[in-house]
Amino acid sequence: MTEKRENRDALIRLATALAEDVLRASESEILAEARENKIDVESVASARRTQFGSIAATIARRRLTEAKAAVAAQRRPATVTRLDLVAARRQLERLLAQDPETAQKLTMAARRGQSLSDDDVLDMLADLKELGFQVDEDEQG
Amino acid sequence: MPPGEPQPATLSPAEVAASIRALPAAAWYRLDRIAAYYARACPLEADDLRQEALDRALTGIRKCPIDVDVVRFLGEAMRSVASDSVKAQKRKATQAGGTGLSLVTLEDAEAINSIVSPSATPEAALIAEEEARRIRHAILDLFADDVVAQTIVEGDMEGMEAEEIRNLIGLDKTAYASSRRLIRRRIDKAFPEGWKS
Repeated sequence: MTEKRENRDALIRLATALAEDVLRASESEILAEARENKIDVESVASARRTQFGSIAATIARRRLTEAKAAVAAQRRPATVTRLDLVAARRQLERLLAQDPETAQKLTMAARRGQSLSDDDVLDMLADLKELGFQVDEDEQG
Repeated sequence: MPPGEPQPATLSPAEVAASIRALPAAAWYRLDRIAAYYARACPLEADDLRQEALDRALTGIRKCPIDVDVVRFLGEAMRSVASDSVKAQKRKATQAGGTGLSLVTLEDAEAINSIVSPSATPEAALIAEEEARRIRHAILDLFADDVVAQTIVEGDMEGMEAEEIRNLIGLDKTAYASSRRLIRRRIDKAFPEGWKS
């Protein structure tokens, strides 16, 4: 078995040596080789560039999805989501009442403290915490 | 690299992407040839090797040192993917056969999960090894009439450095380079569709 396994490794090593030859060849040698093999290098390059663009786009989309997920996770820290929602609304109203200047900067709906969804309340508490407000994660309803 | 030594400066994935976008046509042909050579020696197709190498470069899984040409960097990435796939196939076959343990790196594990067919069995691995043995001998037989070329190819298969091989057969650099060109041309002509056919 050991001897047999060495055969595949030997072929990888040979491929590495041949790849090195390709890398060391001059541009004119490479182009001459392509002509000899009846390969149109411009067509090859065009196809590969398209393929590369497709791979790059896929990776960019993947990164965007990951970034969105990371932002969403940051906006909803575990400390805030643990709050009882009733207590959260009460705390938001109190914090806004304590600081009208900040409240002014928030939306009309937020200032009223009414018709906000649970998510809105938790998001705003997270925002206030980022602004330096003391959000009490242990506050109970 | 020994622990504690500074890491070499590397290009960011965006810089690598920019370098790849700027590659001339001949460079893409070089990459095609390199992919074809590695595809002959591993379970993956040339297209898969090239795509996986580009993916690793763009995601930063493999980092390109700033002083390394990007074509060489991608060639090295393909070597790594090919080598990983062979290791992964061996490992899967071992697991399927339940005959032992092998040390597997993180890259091997990635290769197992992402690029190697899940159908690897001990039988398939044995067939692959037998095929590799057949190809190895067929390649050496190509140079039965040229002992210098045959020795160079054997040296390549053993992983010897160019200088070691040159010293072994007593060739100067020019003659050695000439022999290498002959070797590659003869292999390409003998196996136009790859060694697997």
